[in-house]
Amino acid sequence: MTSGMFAFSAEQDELRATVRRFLAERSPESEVRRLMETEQGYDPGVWSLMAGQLGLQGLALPEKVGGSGFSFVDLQIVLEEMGRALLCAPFLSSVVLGAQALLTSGDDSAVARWLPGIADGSTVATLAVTEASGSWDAGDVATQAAPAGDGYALTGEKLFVLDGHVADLLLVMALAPEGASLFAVEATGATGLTREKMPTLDATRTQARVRFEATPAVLVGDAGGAAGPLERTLDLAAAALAAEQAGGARRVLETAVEYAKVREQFGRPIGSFQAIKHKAADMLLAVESATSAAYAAGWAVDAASADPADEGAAAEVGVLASLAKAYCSEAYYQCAAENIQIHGGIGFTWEHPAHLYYKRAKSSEIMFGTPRHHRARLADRLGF
Amino acid sequence: MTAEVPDRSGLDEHTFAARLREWLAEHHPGRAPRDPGERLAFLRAWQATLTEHGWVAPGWPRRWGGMELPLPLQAVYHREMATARTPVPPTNATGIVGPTLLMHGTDEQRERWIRPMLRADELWCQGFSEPEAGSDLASLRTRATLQGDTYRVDGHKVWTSHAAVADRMLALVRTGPPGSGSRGITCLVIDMHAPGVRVSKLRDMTGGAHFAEVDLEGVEVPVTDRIGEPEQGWTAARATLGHERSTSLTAAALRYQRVVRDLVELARRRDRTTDAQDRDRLARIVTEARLLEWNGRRVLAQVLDGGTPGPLSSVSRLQHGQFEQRLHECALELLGADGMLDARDPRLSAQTATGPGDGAWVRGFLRTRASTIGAGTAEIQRSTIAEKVLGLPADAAQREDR
Amino acid sequence: MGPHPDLLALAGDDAERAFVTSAIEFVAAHAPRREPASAAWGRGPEGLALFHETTDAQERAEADAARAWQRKRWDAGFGWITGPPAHGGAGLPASMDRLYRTVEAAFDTPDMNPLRIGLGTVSPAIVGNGTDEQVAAHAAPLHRGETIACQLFSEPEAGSDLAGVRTRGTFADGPDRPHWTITGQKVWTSNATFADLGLALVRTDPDAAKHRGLTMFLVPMDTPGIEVRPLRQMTGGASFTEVFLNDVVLDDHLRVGERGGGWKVATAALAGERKAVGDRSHDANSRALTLLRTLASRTGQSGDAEIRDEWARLYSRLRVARFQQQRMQQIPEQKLSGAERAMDKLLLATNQKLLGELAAELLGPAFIADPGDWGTFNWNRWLMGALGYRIAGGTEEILKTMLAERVLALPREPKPREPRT
Repeated sequence: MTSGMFAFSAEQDELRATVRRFLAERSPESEVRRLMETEQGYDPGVWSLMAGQLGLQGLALPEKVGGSGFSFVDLQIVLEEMGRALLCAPFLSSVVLGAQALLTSGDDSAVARWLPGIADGSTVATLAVTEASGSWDAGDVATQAAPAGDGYALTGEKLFVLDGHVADLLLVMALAPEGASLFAVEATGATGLTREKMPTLDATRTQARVRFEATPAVLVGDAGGAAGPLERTLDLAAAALAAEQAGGARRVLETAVEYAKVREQFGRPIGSFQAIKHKAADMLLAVESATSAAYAAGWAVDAASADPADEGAAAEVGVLASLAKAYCSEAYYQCAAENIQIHGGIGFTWEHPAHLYYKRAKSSEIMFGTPRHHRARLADRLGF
Repeated sequence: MTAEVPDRSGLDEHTFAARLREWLAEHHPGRAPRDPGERLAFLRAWQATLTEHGWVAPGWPRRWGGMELPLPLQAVYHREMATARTPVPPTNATGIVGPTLLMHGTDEQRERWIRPMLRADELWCQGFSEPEAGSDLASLRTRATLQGDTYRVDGHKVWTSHAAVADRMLALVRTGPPGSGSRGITCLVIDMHAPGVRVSKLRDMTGGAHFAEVDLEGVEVPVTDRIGEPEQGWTAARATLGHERSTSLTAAALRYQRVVRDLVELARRRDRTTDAQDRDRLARIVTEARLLEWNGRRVLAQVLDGGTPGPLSSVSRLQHGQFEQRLHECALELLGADGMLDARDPRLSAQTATGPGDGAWVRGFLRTRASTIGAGTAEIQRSTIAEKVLGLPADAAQREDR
Repeated sequence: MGPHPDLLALAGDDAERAFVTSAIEFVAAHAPRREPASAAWGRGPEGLALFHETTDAQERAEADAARAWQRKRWDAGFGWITGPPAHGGAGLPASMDRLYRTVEAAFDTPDMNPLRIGLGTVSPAIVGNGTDEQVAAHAAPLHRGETIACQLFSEPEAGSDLAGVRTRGTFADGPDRPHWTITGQKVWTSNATFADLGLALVRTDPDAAKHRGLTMFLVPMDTPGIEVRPLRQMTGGASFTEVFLNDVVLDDHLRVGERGGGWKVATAALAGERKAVGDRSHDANSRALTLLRTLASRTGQSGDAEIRDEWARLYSRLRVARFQQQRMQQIPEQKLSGAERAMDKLLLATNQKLLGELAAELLGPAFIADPGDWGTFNWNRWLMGALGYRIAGGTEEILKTMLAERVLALPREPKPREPRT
């Protein structure tokens, strides 16, 4: 047991309260519904406030690139609150996927060039890996990167790119002659680049189809050396998403319990019936366990960062990231489904928020690899 | 007057099926259009065709336009219609309203309403649930006061499917004093075009607006539009619902064979039939569908034996709801990353050889959240099974009726 | 930083550091560090029985060893850490007691299970509700390692609804001293075959409301009229007993707390019983999972995708259960309802069952018929034990209802009119 694990400090409690207050004001349900219908999918004004007022984008990014150097667990606290509020914003894509893709590449000049903009929110970044097969594996990438002049030219199509149609910076996995590599494409003015928002089950999180036709791109990191960094980036993304899922699961438990206390049928609150109580208790177990799993992964990330030479710590990140992703995905989905069930008919209406969480839960379950995929990975990583 | 319905009740199953297939080969209208207005007209036209040729309402008396078939032939009918992917009726109320009229209405009412209902010249909706009376339907509050020969109806109904297009509503209303529970409920047929009826659509989580709320303010209903005796509405509705659900569930079970084939086809197209876990999951779904079908047949057999459907029919309802959800969760799993897409995305809407595009699975995935809620929540069903079938004691503090 | 830095790290401040240091000094002088129970295949005990089943002789030997160790703890000042100084206790807070137990658990000291009920349930009940004389006469000897206690609560007709106990106690203000005559039957009693003292919940006023007609008594187990019979459980062995009380006469001085105040004493005792799930239980589950991994490998099933998936799922569940308990321990007690611990028990019991089921999956026929090999057929005991743990110490259903009502604050069910017993 890592000493101090799960011991949240007063500052962390304050961070959580601050973010919760901010989101209650800036991302109430009405805003979520409004932004769901927009092409852009987020509010640039709120995005700026997140950066300017709270420094959220740069919170856990290194100080040397303009971040605040907070821990990964601190970032998870922010994400948990965002999941609770169903915030529509390119935070996961930019701050986790984009920034970490750059940081894990080991390419100092790329980091120096782009991370400050991500940290202050002026640059929205994302990572484009999946193609038609939906695989997050570097080995399944078919988008071609042909040497062109000083750089490369990308040709191919990426799908399911988070916030791909609004990102300023696209970090793209493509197949160079040397092997799977990471490239940077600045979207503005990029030739041969077409982007199209894909209609999604979860309208609170946008995904795009991105087509490259000989689009100029800058190599990030070593040519042919992107597979390892990608795996580390996806581990961090999994741990980050796990925290978001835990936040959403907790929120649906709260709404289910609230409803069960006030909705009366047969002369008494439905929460007084054992069937409902036991469902709620099952949800409680799932929510609390998911919270524990997500933060255990987060603490492991911080422990590994504190001692980069510790191979055991690094391996533990891989284990717990997959563990948390699989567990939290199933917990969130089951809770979101039961939340609808406890609400009965009204939970099935568009007007009630239950379906928003349900769709976010299902979508998150699939994103970055299904629970089954992650358990297979877990078994592999444990040498089973 | 429409021509007499031919009497096919004496045919053996093989011949009956052949005749139906022959007729369908000539008259099958193809796939229904997507546009809601066109779709409704299309479905109504098909119902009229079925009625004109006597291929509708397999269990109803021929006097009223049905086929009056023995249960085994009814089963063949449903299976053939499912295999041929014939369009479904425009509203599902026919299955409840029809039997209610047949069992509790007068001949005069049946003359007026049944044939136009079968032809879909008149569309019906069901006005049962209210905002404060869902699972506890017996506590419903919509009031109907008798003044001379006319009832005056005031109240609100919710979860009314198809109310926006319906001409008539089969409604349960309270004619007894407040607190009279199930004993003060009467069944009325409300003209949806009458003054005082207001319909507001309810958008559901699939994005569609299949359901509606109906406000009733001083709506007048002649006494001749009451079904059955005053204060007998609850018994009438319960009997119909019970009977009809068991037969409609059997029909549904027979359709599942086709649905499961579609699932396996989806798995093949997505190259998800070699992995051991995928195969295991498909095997479970196939097994469950067969179980539902066999249970349905057993229910039929029990009814044929002259008895009531028995415990199996209560269990079926619960099983169906859960099965539909598991089926669609499996489908979503098979869609992989495409499962994150909206049903309308091009990747999901390409038509396939066996049926509509994969978008239908996504729509179904969302829609089936209601499978364990609508027409009796799973929790209520479990309680019903525990109390009525297994004889477990009811909640000590429970009201008498439910 | 001396030896055992991992244990010293448990201390939060100077007072705790001093305490932990002295605890380590004491325990280390008597026992080596505990090796985790080996998960090496084929060596040593299988360790697959969740419910401890032994012969009478073994049971007695374990009890004697436990008492001997308790005496040593007492002599070193660790025998009654939270106990009142007037009676030889150290008068320290519960946090110190937890620290001591954590430190001791790291060493290979005797199994203290025979004393668990006495020290953890019966003693606190006496201290909380009894007289000074009772504390001196009955609680202190438990901590000095002189006596062993058992709990006489559950009955065939009073399990989850413990307040429904029917064992009858009738008062008589004699020519002799005031005394009670007790008749009834208790069930699921651990330790009764060798216990010196029992704590019994008795109905003393059948006309009072259910929860108000109960009184708690101390029952010296050598009093005439007490019959102890082993309860054979589905594993084939007997970890528990039935205790028949036939006109057992108890001096009124053996009454603990007020007449009619028995329920209050019982709830306090049960709260003590529902302590945190020990690390040992988590360790046992982890060991089981390791054994299953080896088993999968030995039976050539490690490559099977479904086995891998199930194993990985279980691995996740076990680690999450530990994380969950650890995380809850970090939350200040005043922020919790106290019922949260029920989650740990629920998770543990579910995990035990899943482990047993995976074992059955891997063993196939060897789960059904004993081939005689190490670590195979006896997984039966594990799975059966797992089924028992979903019931013992608070059934799953009771625990879920508790979580729903006390943690989630869902409304209670309306009470029916109370039947008289």
